[in-house]
This record gives sequence, C-alpha cells and structure tokens, in this order.
Amino acid sequence: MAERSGNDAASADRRALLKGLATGGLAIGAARAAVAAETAPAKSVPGADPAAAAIGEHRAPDAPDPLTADHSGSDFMIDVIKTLDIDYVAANPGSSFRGLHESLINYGGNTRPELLTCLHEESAVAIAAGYARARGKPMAAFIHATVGVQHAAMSVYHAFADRAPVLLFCGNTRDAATRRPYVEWLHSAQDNAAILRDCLKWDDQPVSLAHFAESTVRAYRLATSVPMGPVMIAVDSDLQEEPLERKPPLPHLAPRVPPVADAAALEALARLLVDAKAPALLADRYAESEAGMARLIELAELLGAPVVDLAGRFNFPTDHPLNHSGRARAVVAGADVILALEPIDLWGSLNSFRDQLVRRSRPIGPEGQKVAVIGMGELLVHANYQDFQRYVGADLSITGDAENSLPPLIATIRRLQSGADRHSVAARAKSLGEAHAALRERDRRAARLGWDASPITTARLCSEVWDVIRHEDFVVCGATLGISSWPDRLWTIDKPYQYVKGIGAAGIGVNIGLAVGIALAHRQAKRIVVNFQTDGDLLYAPGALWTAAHHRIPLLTVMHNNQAYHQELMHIQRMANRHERGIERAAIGTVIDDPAIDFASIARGLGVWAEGPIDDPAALAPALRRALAEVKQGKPALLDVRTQAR
Amino acid sequence: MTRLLPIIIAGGLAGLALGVARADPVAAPPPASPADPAAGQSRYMRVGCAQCHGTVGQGGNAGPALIGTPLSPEGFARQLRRPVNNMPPYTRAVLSDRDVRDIDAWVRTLKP
Repeated sequence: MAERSGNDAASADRRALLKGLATGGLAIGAARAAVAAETAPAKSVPGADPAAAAIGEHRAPDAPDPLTADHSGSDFMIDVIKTLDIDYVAANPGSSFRGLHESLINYGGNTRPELLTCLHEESAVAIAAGYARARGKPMAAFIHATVGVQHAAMSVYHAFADRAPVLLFCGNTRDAATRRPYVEWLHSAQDNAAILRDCLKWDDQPVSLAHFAESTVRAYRLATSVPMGPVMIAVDSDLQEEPLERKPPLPHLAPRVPPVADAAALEALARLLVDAKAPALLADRYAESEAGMARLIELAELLGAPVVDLAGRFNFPTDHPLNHSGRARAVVAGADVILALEPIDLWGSLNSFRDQLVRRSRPIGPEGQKVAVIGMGELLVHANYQDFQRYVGADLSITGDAENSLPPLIATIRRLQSGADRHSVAARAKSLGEAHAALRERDRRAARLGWDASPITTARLCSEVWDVIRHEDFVVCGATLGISSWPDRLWTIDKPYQYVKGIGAAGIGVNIGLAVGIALAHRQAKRIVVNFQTDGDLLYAPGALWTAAHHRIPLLTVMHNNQAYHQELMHIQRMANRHERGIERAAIGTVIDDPAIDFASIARGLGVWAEGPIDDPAALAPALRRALAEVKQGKPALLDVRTQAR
Repeated sequence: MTRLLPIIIAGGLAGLALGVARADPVAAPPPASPADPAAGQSRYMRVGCAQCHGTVGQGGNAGPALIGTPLSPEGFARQLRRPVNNMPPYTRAVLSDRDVRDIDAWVRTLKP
C-alpha cells in the first residue's frame, strides 16, 4: 500500500479492514471486534522512520502501522485461479496487479499457471488467444490498468472476433483515497473494461474476495461456453493487497453440457438434405474439438456432398475427395441445398461482390436454392463492432452447437435415406472425387509457375517448407491466406490439430503472438509448429519473439516478406485507377522497402536464431533444414524470405 | 483460396474467357507498329500488374496467372479497360493503347 499520513491512513485502513472482513463472510459482530482491534497495538513495529518523522514527512501514527502480512487477498486470488485448469498467464508487468503477480510467482510457486514474461500487452493477449485456440481451453493474461488495457485492445478484439476463450485480469485502484500520488491516478479508472466491453463476452469488477472468486469462476464458464470469447475481471489493488483474514470458499466449476439443436428442426433439415440433388456443406467456425472433423467427414460422405472449408477453423482434410474449398464459387453455384455450419460471413459466401465505383452484388446460387444454418453465432452479437457480417435470411436457421448437433443429424439422415438415395450419393461422390483430383492437379501445376523467380513465389515457399516438414508431426499457423492459401492447396493436412485457422478481426500485429501461443500449446507434444509471418505484422510487436526465446518455445517462423502493406497497396491502386491518376505513386505510404528492414537481425537481437533475407529460391531449402534443426532443439527460429506479393 | 473473400480485392485479368474478337470501343485499335515485349515488361512492373499477378505472371489469390492466358489480345485489352470483375480499370488516361499492346506481348512470352 502507498505510504499515507496520520488520520487519512487510519480511515483508509479501517475501510480496507472492513472490506476485507466483509469479503471473508464474517458476522457483523466480528467486524466490530476487528475495528476495535485496529486501535490496539500492532504485533510488530519494524520500519519506523524517526528521521522522516523528524522532518515532517510523516506524522507519527497513533499506533505503529503493521508492515508485513503473512497473506494478502492476492494469495486467495491465486487459489481461485488454480482451480481453473489454467496452465499459463501471459503478462507485461504493471503495478496495478503487483499483488497478484507476486502471489503467483511466490505463493503459487509459478506453476499452473506459470507466468510468461511478455513485452507488450498486445503480445500477451495474442499469446493467450493462440494458446486457447490450439489447446481448446483458456489461457489467462494479466493486464495493467488503463495503459495496459489500451495496449491490449487490438488483441482482445481479435480474440472476440475469433471466439477464443481468454481470461483477462486487469489491475486497478478504485479507492481514490488510497491511490499513490500522480502515476497511480493515471493508471486507475472508474471502469477499465469500458473501452473493451464491445469485444468482451463478459466482465466484472469485484468488490470483495468472495465476489472475486465467484466472478472469476463465472468468467471462466462464460469464456468456455459456445460461442466462446474473452472475459475480463478488474482486480482492485486494495483487494489484492489487504491482509487476508479468512479465505472465502472456493466456488465449484460445474461442468456444462453443450447445446444440441432441436430434434424436430434436425428432422426437417435431414429431410431437406436427403431430398437434395446437389447438397453442399460450408464449414466455417465449426470444428472446436478433435471430434468435429470426423463428424463432418461422416456427414459429407453420407450425403455425397462437397465441403467448402472456410477460414474460421480447420474443419476438413485437405486431401479428402469431398474437399472442394478451392472451387467454392462453383460449389455454391451448383448447389440446390446448402448447409452452413457455424458460418461467420454466410452472405459473403453466397453472393459475389463487385468492388468498383458502383458496388454491386448478386447471388451466386440458382433461384430456389435452399440455405440452412446450424450455429451459435447469433448468441454472441454486440451492437458496436460489425463482426456479425451481413444478414442472411436462411430457409432453416437452427440454433445449436453444430459440432455437437451433427451426431443426431447424421442418425436422422441414415434413417431417412432410401436405397435409391444411397445410389445417388455414390454417383455424386464419384464425380466429386474426380473434380477434387483435377483441382489438386491444377494447384500442383500452378505452384510450378515462376518456380525460380526472385522474389520467391509464395507457392515455392510453401512447397519448400512442405518438403522439410512433411514427415514431422507438424502444425501450421499464421497468415496462410496472404500466401494464396498454398498450404491448403498443396499440403496433406488431415489431423484436426494440424492447422490453426481463423483470421479473427483481420488486424495486423497479433499474428506473431498467436503463433507463440500456438507453439506453446504444442511444446509438450514436441510438434513442429510452422508460422507463416508477414513483415507488416511482425513490426507491431516483435517482442513476442523474445518471449519465445526466453521461455524456450520452439517455433519455426517463415516470413512472407513482401516489403509492403500489400493489401493496402492494392486498395490505393484501386483508388488511383478509379480517379484515372495512375498507380505509380501507390507505393507512397504502403511500401516498406527503403531502407529494407532486416528481420533476421531483429530476431537475433531478441535472442532468436535467424537467417536472411533469402532472395534466391535455391537457398531456401538448406536454410529451412538449418532452421528446423534449431527448432528441434527446443528453440524458436526465423527465416526472413523475400517473397512475391501474394 | 477458400472463401469468396472481400479481402482479396483485385480480381484479375482472366476472370472470364473473353477470347472472341469483335468490334469494341474499349479494345485497342490495330497496332501501328510491332509491340515491344521488353517495354511491356517494364510497364507491367511500373503500373502495378505484378502486385496481383506476380512479377512473372504466376498469379495468386489476388489475381489469376497470366502465363498461358486464354484471352485474345482484344479480350486482354477489354479486360484492362473495363474489367468484368474486381480488377481496377486501366483507362487510356493511365495506360496507353501502346502500353496495353506491349504488356500483352510480354505476357504472351511467358512460359510455364
């Protein structure tokens, strides 16, 4: 606690003591006794400062203040957090949670959770979000009040838009009478969550330890209930630092049953699908567990339906004959019934959109096409941020967790299918298998175009990485969309954990943190995690690389360094051509090549093995093998590769 | 490419097979002199074609490959002038007919 003087200190301590006792659930009588005890001599008086008193800095208290305590509220908070199966807490240190920080590393033994040292709140929350997505369970982050919250904001929005369960604890000092002068006022807020609330699933600011315990367990439950999302508990510093008189009870984390869609609705959907001549499946934020992929394979094979695996999650093996993600438009155009599983932007999948001076759109599918949805997306819609996408009036919209609703849907379809239906399914599957094979062959041929070009083509980049990791137990993550989705098009990825997809809020600055979190999640299994990393993203918060080095998190980062904010460059080109001004100046403000940024030096400066820049495609494979050797020793490594734009 | 994504903005030259030669006010007029592929490559790089189609026309998810384009020279010019998809329009104010012919000539030199 801050140093205080005389009567102010006494009144503040009385408030604090009463508050602490109230949190302990003691009776009023006990509280009165404690107030009386406050005036009694303290058990020890070390640290009295006669010199300070002599020069008037401190008025001698009526009774010497206690200076130590065996336990404070923050110890109990760690007890609560330890009940929640949280492995790690990511944090950039901040005084508003100093009590919690110290209790974690000493009282809590810095295990389960273990504190990860982060260099930016954006990194801390991104690491937590990446870990949560890869492990399917929450990770926590401690966030400094006000300034830390603002640094964290972008990653929190990402976690919200990606439906990642992240548990945030934000420090704060609510009581103005107990704040240290000056800086602590700058780092206190009436409502720290205010600037994040539009992208938090829930938040609270407990006023007692019992309140903290219940709200933290509630926050965990809400974060992990579909639709999942980030939650935040603002932790009062007085509550953290007040001596602990009695521990409140630890709330029980009750198990939940995931919501399954209504049986009658599934019966109607099954009939629609069985009667369809050309059913198609769109899977987006669908597969949250290992069972999800197997269920979708079963459904697709049962229907003889093509699957378009969208960008929200990794839902379907890339090599499966019914994977038609590379011909999404043709699939939608040819389908008479579409079932969308946990769609994010269903309208965008069903319509073409022309981004010219006059923006126009039109449906891709045929007239009379039926669209059905199973999902939970509408149960987590906030008003401000528009991540909920354009409205689609589906013919059959079923609320339920799609992954857990597939088993009863599959059982119903099996019951309804006739022998003739199964014959049609077999014929469709044969035709779709041929189309899939043709698509893969087309992609393989396309990958050879510009094979020896420099800057290196993104297809060559992915082909070389594939050659190095294909026999490893690998995981791929990062900005794969920006490299023309070549891993989806060229690699055999068939295990649910092998590909962490999800563009979240499509902001840059979070990817490297997400990758570190994903690598942390797979460290124990000794998987090779490959992160495709754009240059623009890495420049926001490269300190996440140091966190990987410091905590010995193996991660192979391969850069897609096109020396530009390329998406924005294309937007400027569009505007310039629209105004008939020519696009030769579009590089102003969008290109980052003069001076060329030396990412290998940046990485080495952060303690990460690195090579590059690599311009020669022939030099790529040997460098990848050297980098992989480092990763196999449990270290992060980075290759800076100068690449084509896309 | 797994999504019909607005994040991919360009669209590109080979969006539709427009290979049928016919009179068109936006198509390039008959060439006054032979096209210059080397000049076309230079213009290709300067006016931003490579941003979507790649420095050697290999394509990507922002624009299709130009190597072995199915478009006729007239269709190629028409797509540049009045794109049928999301590709930014290259009017005569920013790209002369000569430039279009030169770029077309260079594109046709590209081999897989």
